Amino acid sequence: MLSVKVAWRNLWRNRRRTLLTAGAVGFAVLLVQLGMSFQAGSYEPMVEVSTRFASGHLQIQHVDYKDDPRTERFVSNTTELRSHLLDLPGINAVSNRTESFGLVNKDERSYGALVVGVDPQIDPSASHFSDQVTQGTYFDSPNSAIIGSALARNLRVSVGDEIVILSTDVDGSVAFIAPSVSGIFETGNDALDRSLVQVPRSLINDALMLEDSAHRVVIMIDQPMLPEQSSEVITPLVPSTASLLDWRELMPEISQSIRLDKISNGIVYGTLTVIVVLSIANTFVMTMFERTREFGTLRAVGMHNRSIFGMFITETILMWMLGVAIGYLLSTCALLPLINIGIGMDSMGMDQFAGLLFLPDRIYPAVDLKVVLVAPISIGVGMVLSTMLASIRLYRLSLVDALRYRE
Amino acid sequence: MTNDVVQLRSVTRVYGQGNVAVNALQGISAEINKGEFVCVVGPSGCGKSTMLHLIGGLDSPTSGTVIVEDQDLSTFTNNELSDLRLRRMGFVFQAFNLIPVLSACENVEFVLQLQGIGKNERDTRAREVLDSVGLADAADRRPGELSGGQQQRVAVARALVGNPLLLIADEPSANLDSTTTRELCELLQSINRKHGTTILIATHDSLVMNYSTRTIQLEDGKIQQENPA
Amino acid sequence: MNTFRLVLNLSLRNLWRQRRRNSILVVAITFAIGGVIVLNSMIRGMQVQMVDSVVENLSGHIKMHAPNYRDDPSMERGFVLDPIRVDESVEGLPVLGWAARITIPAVIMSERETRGASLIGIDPDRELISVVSNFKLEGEGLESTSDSRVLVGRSLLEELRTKLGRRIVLTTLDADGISKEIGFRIVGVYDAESESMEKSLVFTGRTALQELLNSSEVTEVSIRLKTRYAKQEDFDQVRKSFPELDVLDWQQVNPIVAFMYNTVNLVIYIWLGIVLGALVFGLVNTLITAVLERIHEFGLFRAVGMRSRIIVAQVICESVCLMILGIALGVAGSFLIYAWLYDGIDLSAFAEGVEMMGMSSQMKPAIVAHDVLVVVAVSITLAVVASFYPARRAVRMNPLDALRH
Repeated sequence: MLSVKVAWRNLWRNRRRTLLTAGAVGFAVLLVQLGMSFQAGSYEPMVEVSTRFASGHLQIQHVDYKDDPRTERFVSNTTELRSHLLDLPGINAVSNRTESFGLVNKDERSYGALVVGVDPQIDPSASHFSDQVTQGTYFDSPNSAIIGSALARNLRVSVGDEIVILSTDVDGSVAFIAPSVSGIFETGNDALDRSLVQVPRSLINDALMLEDSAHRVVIMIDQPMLPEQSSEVITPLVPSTASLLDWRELMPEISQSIRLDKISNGIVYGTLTVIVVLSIANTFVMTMFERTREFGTLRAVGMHNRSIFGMFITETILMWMLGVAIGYLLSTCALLPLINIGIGMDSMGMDQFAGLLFLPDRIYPAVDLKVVLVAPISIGVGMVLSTMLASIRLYRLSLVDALRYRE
Repeated sequence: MTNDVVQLRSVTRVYGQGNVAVNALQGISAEINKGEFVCVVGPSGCGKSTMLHLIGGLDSPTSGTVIVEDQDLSTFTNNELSDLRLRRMGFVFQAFNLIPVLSACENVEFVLQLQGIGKNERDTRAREVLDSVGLADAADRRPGELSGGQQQRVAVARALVGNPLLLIADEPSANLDSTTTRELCELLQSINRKHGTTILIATHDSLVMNYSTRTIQLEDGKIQQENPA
Repeated sequence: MNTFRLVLNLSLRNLWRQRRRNSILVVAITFAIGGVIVLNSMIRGMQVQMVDSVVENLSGHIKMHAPNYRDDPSMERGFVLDPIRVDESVEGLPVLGWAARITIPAVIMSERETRGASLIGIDPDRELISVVSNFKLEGEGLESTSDSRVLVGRSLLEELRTKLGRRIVLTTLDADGISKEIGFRIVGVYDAESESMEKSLVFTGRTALQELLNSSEVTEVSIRLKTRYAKQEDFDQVRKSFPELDVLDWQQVNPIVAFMYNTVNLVIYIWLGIVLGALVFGLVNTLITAVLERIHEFGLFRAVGMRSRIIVAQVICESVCLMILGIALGVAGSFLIYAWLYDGIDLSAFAEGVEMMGMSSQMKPAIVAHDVLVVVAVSITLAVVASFYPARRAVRMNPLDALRH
């Protein structure tokens, strides 16, 4: 088409200006793309790491357990429930956990700790604890325990020692277990290392008279960022006294920081886009002034207003495409080397907090359709609007004035 | 059906309002017949350009009627005026006003493309017209690479390529020397004679006037005299 | 001076001649500068809040522990408090006050439930330096350092399913590392802004606790200054006085919050760079156009004998004037937004998330003069730098060519 040709050549009539404008578009596209891909790439690993240390993706628990956890608020017949759950699509692991607050004693020393009963064969599929054992082994007998490193130091406990854990059973009477420490774990998270003990679920359930019950039925799913899909499938299996919670409800601080991060970054990207679009609009207004007489000539030789506007828009779109291409090229150059190796937390000085904040070791940029399209589309819309604004003047001007402009 | 291509009936054109109002045209009536070569002459500011703009539908009169081919231009919409200019008229400007990014041939083709004519025919016709204005060799050069006289001939070619009924030229020789002006005028005259294209030129160049079949003399927005050649 | 006025006059008139397009650029600059200052004020507000809440929440500006206490917080890792030495160590510093405490982990048992918490022995009179003095209380507060009753957080009270006035039993290790069960009566229930604090901190009298644990030691001394930030010299002075102790500043006591605090410092500069980077394109474009369309004019100036330096000055002056106008509007706009947000932005929908970052759920912006000056200085520098290339275009032109143009 001739008009595309004219538009294209018009762009190169002022090469410097076109390149600067396209450069501004490319700059914004690059920055937004880099920012968004690292953001998008950090959320899922963050959720994955934190869910594997704590809540899991979804949990079935007694309706009141979350607000006020008590021993007698349990879910029963969990072995059967687990096998039903595993038959459902999209579910890759289910682990039953019993929880009780207990006093952990070694000789004369005692500390409070959260005692979690897990099935040693099953729980590693839903949590990272088995990988975090730095001394000894992850459960070697039905009467063993693994214990946080700081707690072990404070209690002066080493692998092989027997500890006594006092707690209260379902009836409120004192119960105790005396496992031997088979392993000591170190997660890097101070709270866990200082106050967590894991024992086989059979051991603590016997002591607390919980039979086959559990306080948390932890479910790991294939699509952790879309827990509502799995929730729909699981809901029919949830006992009437229990409720199904996803990680966003179980760890509100994580989902809130993700939302807060999205909002604040959205504001940053929005402002950046507005600034870029405004400076482009400014350029367009200048261009349109210079082209007043050209506009008059085109009208005089019989071109419709509509077609002339079509030509302006074509120029804008070509310039936009050029800018987006520059942006894509640069962001591809920046992201391609990182997409497989990621950025290590250590290079950002964050490794020391990885455990504290449940951060993954490395963040990999994630590029999805939204990341690719958001900046180009919003800038494109802004550019088309700018073209309209800038050309209004031409349509208001009389043809005679347009032809005489600066003659 | 009259023989008139253009009729002006007591046309006035006032620019601005109140104290600063300028009466560019003060009630002029005139006819231009098919096949005429008319020069509108007069000092600058006499209303020549205004008259041409009104006839070309680029501007509309404050009062009076402009009739082109028996149709009152005031009844036309903007797009209809565009189409009228596209199919029935050709314009040549003082400052050439070529599209700088297109070659001479493409500048000429542009009009044909607006008319919706296919590529092959466009190319053939554009080259024919350029040949007829003596620019066959320069067809692929851009305006910036052409001399003033050549540019103006491209502009004439652009104005002619659509086979217009009326060719309007506003001071076409203002930026040309006398030799090129003469060449241009001879070109216009031959077109006028060969194709019967009506030609309307605003000028104050006596060289140009010599080629006309009739001159209309304007002064202060009024017709002073009409002189058949 | 005359030259300067000539240049300024020419620049201003030229800007005014193209006011339409220049106004768009000024709006862009306004947006950029306003955006940067507003964001900066949010970040500064956040930092202020982080520091204030950390300092209030028992950290103080400077904290001292016995070595190893942080790894094994127990009565065995205590030290003997020498009030005179502490007073001497802070002599000359703008001290609001200091408090000695015992902070040790304990297991709390009510009639029905068992929970873990930190048991903190305090001198109530000295806790004017911390959040403890601001608690909303149900019941009474602790009377003195020898008061052997406890203050319990509302959330913990509910989890323990007990009531004001009832007894709870705390199990903790005494000075010899031997487990001890001690009964306490709940004298008051406190509401704190942070739920995790309510759940995890239980207060009693310090000397009462020392007696119960057969100890004459404390586990920490917390010093609060009148200024918001402790200077390194202040910190060093205290550290020199207590070479045998771990002397920590708030950043060492709260590494996560400190990390966030320092990260956002960087964000301010990154953001400034991005925004000004985006502006450069528009600025250079406008200036080049303004130069090229007046090349004839510049040629004329050269022809009548104007020195090229003055033409360069004119281009730079136009750029700087545009920037100054944009800065003025941007700063004014950001102050309006600041005034509008002065009471704080409600982030309670993200309560747990912001608490993790050490902030409160009301985010108040804070404008720091130094930041505004940096923004202004950097953007004016940018305006000068961005005009170099266009200015060179303006003088590189041969006057004759320019006149023919």
